[in-house]
Amino acid sequence: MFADLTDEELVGVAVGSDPEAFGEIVKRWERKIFALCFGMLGREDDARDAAQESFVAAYRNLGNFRGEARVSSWLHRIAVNQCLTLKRRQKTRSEDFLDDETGENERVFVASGHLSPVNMTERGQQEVIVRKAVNSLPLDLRQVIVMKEFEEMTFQEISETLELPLSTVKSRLYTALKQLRMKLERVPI
Amino acid sequence: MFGKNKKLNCEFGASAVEYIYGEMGEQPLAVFESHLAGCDGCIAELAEVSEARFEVYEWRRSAFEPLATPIIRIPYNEPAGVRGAIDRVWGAISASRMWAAGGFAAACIAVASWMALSAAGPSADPPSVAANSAEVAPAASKIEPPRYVAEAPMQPARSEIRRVTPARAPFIKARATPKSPRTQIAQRKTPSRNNIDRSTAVPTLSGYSTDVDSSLRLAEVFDDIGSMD
Repeated sequence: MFADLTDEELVGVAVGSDPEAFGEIVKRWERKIFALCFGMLGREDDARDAAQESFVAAYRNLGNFRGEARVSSWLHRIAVNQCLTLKRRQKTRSEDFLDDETGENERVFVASGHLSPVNMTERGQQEVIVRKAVNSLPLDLRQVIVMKEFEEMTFQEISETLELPLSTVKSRLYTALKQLRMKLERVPI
Repeated sequence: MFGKNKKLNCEFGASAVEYIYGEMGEQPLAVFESHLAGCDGCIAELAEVSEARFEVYEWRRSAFEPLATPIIRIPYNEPAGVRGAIDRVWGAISASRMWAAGGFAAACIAVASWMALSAAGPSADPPSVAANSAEVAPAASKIEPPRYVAEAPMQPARSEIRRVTPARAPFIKARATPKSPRTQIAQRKTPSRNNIDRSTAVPTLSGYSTDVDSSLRLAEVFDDIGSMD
């Protein structure tokens, strides 16, 4: 129904006549927003909460969207702010954990249904695509990704293992992730 | 996603990698996060790197984490160090092969030693058991630890065996060493035909032999005939 509309058109429909048009935006961007939140927070449950709150915040502020930026960048900005807020809140809690009960009560939303059969099939296809993309990287870049993601080594450990400067390891991983992102962008998931 | 002018020319872009892996120092982290809130370029960079990292993370998690570490079951109800029946059979086969190979090698060495001694001459003593065992002993000494060689006089080193073996020692000396004064004297004492003592060489009826020079006896007969005349 909304699949043919652009993000900006969907925002207009959601604000004007059909709020459920926002569901299409969520469907398009939930994975990327979740990935961003996961990258910032490093924990799945925290990232899930942050993504949920980001979309709720976007929905509540749809009226403030002026169309000066793209919806995607607007959503990313909201997600970053949500993550930063969450990190600050966590830091405060770690220093003074008296507010824990209040925080738990505020968590109303739950994770979306990623385990449905359709999603499982899509995930299987996606794994193949990601595996091929990783394997197609040059060896030096692939090596760093494997050591970082699969062996969970620190930059310093990778540097010592490969006998490379720390800055080289960081730049290799950065390049690897950028190339991987480009390869995955070419393949529609 | 973002405008190109905002995405480029930001010094913090590459810091996204350190940031998403949580390896940024406390002070740079605060600086980066305060910068991030107002920089669309860095947000875009962070989103891209995070997305790529997330894809790998998810792939790893779904494809590799279900592969639980195999459960290793040790049969603790059995005594340690006791092999199973199959292992014992295989060990016996291996041992018989080893013994067969060792026996064949020993036989070859014994034959070679016998041939060498036979070629050296008939006056040599036949190869004794000690000589054969001396040739085999080095092969066995490879298996035994060195301390057993040192403690057991029955398995000496090869050089010691060559010195003390009675059967081989004369041959080795005769073939390998030059003539010493003692051996030259011994050769001079060897009896020759010109040095035969006639008193002992005259044949008697009981000890007559065709090897004795008969011309000498005829001369004596002629002498006797002349004296009779």
